Amino acid sequence: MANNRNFAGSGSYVLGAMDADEREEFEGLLADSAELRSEVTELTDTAVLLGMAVDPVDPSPALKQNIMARLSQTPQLPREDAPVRALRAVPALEEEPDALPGSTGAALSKARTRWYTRPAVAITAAAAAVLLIVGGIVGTNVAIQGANSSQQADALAAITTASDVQRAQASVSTGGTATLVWSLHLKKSVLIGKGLKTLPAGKTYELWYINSAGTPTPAGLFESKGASTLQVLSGTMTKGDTVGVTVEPAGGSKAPTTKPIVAIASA
Amino acid sequence: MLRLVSSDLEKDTDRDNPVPVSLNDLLGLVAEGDQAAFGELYDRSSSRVLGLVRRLLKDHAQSEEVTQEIFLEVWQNAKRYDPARGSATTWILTMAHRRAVDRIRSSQSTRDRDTKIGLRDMDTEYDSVSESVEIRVEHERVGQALQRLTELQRQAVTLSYYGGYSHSEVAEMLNVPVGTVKTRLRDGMIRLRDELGVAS
Repeated sequence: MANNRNFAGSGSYVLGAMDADEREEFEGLLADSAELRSEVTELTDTAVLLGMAVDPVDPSPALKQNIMARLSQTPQLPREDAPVRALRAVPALEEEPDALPGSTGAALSKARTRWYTRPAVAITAAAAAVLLIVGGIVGTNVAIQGANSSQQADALAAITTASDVQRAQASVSTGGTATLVWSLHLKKSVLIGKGLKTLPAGKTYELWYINSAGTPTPAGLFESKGASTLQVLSGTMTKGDTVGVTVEPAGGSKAPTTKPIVAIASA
Repeated sequence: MLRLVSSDLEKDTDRDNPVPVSLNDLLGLVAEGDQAAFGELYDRSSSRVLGLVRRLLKDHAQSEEVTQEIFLEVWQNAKRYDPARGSATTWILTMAHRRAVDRIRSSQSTRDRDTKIGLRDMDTEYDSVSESVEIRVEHERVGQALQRLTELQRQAVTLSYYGGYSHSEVAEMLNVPVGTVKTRLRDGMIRLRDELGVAS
């Protein structure tokens, strides 16, 4: 077992020494091996003992008040084995504003029931719940697209629960609106598009972080297929960045080749 | 061991409480949306969480921010806590450590820290000023176990866990290949596991 190279990362993993990609890769290995899981469980308990040996520090009383005050706006995610499937329920939910995220368990299970009856795109429970969180923030529901939905959901959950979460909205010159939700502490942002035009074949939307000097850095590609789209931007956000969207040839460009259809300043 | 850990996270200030409720039980109530239970869970575990986060981040205000994120995440994910996979203490402190590390990695200024300073501080970093006997005993036990590691194992484990450095950063600091750091981290943790009598 010690010779199995899959085990080599277990120490790094439990000590938090991996970067995000390595962590994800290792978790894939974990899912496949009961033996590796058992080692990681023991080493995790060992790492916790390192944590227990640290002197406790009492937080300020205000911290508890802040946290308690936010509970009612923070929906609890369903159990991971919850029978959540599909979405594409976006239009249905919009027809019926009452079903929109009240961040309560009732709204959640109602929405879940609806998704279940309209199987289309498989999503994880986490992604489903995040839809509701985003719904609470931007007042709409969004479709999480593509194979990365679980990763996107995790990133989105982190951004929306960050203590410094901010948002800004702008209209898109070709139709629809775009909302940017970001956390400067996490240096991450997510763009939520509503009513964006579906692009012809051979074209793609491309995201850009534009720094205060006006230099754009590519931040990922996305398509618009339904009423709403959500895309976590790749790369890191810097204070004062503007987020822009352009239409580019399929595959994306290294620098914008067209005028931005929307630009949202974060400062 | 798991049982021991789960009781340890709680401060020993609840002796007057006629019906002691474990952190695991509290977390079960939190999963049902019980805000009062969450408040108690917070009271019992927040100083541990903040202590660990501040150990990594140093800055108190930033550590409180991250602690807020951690407890909101506890609230948000309480239904997903599976007691079969470990104690509530393990779950919460593991999450806390991960969030503190995430914050370090996402913050460029902290990321650019002089690795030499990290290395210099390391040896003096392992000391406890706590007045709690329980914590000092645990501290000493872990300290002794750390002394049983080879120097390279101990440095790699300490820099990763308490310093929040990635294995590539540790490799750079200790001037050894990343593969060697990974091996030392695993060997070191297995040694610690055996010294501390952790078994699942």
